[in-house]
Amino acid sequence: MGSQAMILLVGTLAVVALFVSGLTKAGNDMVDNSSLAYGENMAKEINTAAMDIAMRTLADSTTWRAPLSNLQLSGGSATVTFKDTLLGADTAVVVRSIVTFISGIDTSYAATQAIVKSPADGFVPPVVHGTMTSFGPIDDIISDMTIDGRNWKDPTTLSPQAGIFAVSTSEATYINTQNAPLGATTYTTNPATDIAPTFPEDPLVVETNATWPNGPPSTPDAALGYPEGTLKNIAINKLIPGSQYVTKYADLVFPLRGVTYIEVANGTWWRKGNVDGVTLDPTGKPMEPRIGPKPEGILVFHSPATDALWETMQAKPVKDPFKGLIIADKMFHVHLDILGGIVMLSPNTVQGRTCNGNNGHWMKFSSEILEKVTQASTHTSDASWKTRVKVLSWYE
Amino acid sequence: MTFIDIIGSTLLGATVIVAIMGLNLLLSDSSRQVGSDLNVQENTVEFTKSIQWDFAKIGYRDTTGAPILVAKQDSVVFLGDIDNSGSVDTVRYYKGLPEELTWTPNPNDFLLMKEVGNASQTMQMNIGLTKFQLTYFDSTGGVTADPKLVRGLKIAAVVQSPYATVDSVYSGAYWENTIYPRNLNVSK
Repeated sequence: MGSQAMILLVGTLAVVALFVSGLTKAGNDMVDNSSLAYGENMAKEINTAAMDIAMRTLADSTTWRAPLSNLQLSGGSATVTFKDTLLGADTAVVVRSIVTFISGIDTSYAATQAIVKSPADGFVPPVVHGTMTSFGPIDDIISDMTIDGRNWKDPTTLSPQAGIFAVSTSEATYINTQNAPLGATTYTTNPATDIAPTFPEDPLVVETNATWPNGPPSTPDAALGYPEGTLKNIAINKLIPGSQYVTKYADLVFPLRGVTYIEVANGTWWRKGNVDGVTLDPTGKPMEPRIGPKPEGILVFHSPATDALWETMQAKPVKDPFKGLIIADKMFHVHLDILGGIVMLSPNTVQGRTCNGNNGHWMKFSSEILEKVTQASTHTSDASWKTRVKVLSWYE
Repeated sequence: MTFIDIIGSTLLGATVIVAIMGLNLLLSDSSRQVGSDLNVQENTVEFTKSIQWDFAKIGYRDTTGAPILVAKQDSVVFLGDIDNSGSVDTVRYYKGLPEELTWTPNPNDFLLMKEVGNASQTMQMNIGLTKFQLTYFDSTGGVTADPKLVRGLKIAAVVQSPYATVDSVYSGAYWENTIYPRNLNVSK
């Protein structure tokens, strides 16, 4: 009897030990499983944080390429690298993040590779139909300078089949009174065809009766599709380096950079021999409203009534081209080279006057330049990197 | 040895045996329960890892600008290079019918199907899903059913054990996750 009880007891203990062992193992497996899943999720979270730091760094400093090594985040370690690359014709930055997180005896990893462009996109404002876009008549304005709507990367490098009209007007007719050579890209063919500047011009290089869904824009902000006050705010607060806001010519600082917002009284007329009432420059010659050396950016010349006229805009004594977008109420005698475009807001442009002697100058459309000058203005007040860095692809 | 001794030892022996059998049953049930829970946990983790991995690739290397092709409550079809091979895959996730999963006693579980490329590459995921529901969000955070507008998607799932435990209860886990795939939120 005693031995039988002993056998029973031993057998019972064996069964209990077996079950307990199994339960312990299952419990340990569950804990291990949880720990591993926790570690992997933590690694992913840390990776997200590391990429966020990297993107913010890149957004704040587009030339940043130094690695962010051994970032200690939430108990894990992250390293982020930046490398320039070419994606098609575009330059981009490859941002790689590798994260290690140790949870108990498990080591979890997470990695991301993103290809980004910095800063985010600029754009060719929809208002820019032609290299010179006007809502009034332009027969007498364009003078005899060469106006080319083909798309130029720089003054000598063409981006084929990607241009716009040479000139665009909301008027029903256009007469090239000063024999200006005009060129453009036409999309009446497939693929598009570039038309080199000629006189007489090919009718396909001119747009007349240009229509606007909500009527032509009457303010510089409206022309770019920005909320009212955006450009002025950028200029006043210098949100783009070099920007300035002035109300008279004497206050302009050269070279022009960023957004130059010139807001003048209604009826203002800047011209040779009279700029804000100043008739002579310091050397005793007739005062001229020049725009200084190497001018760039967005240049606004505007009055509340949209009637300000800038006549004889010159780049003397240095004949650097203006690179960017000029948005003016009205212009006449544009005596400089322009890479980018001009938009004139007033429907009452100058007519009945002669504007020759300008055939050495040119005006060339450049989407690259327009994108460059608009990209900075698009998101200047954003703190988030997501509007300042364009993500091309993201693998995690 | 008296008669009372015999009765007493019999009762004692029977009590011990019943106690041992009870202990055995208890241990057996516990073991089954824990095993079932472990199985559900492992399946849930595998399922969530798979979903998070694949769904994070929605739109990766897509050039169409509209990588979600179908956005239904029980299925999604999207474009994305999920294996980083350099070529964009067409991936389809959809829930099977409970009738298709007959080899488990759980009447509610179904297979989750994953197709990459075409129907010949269908992977059947038998992980005890009893709920797989997708909800889609546009850029404003509002619910949308238009695949072109989708910027995020929520997955709600319940994973259950294939076998019921002693009380005819299935071990289960509920998982819900909203994913905003990065490549859906970049302009093309």
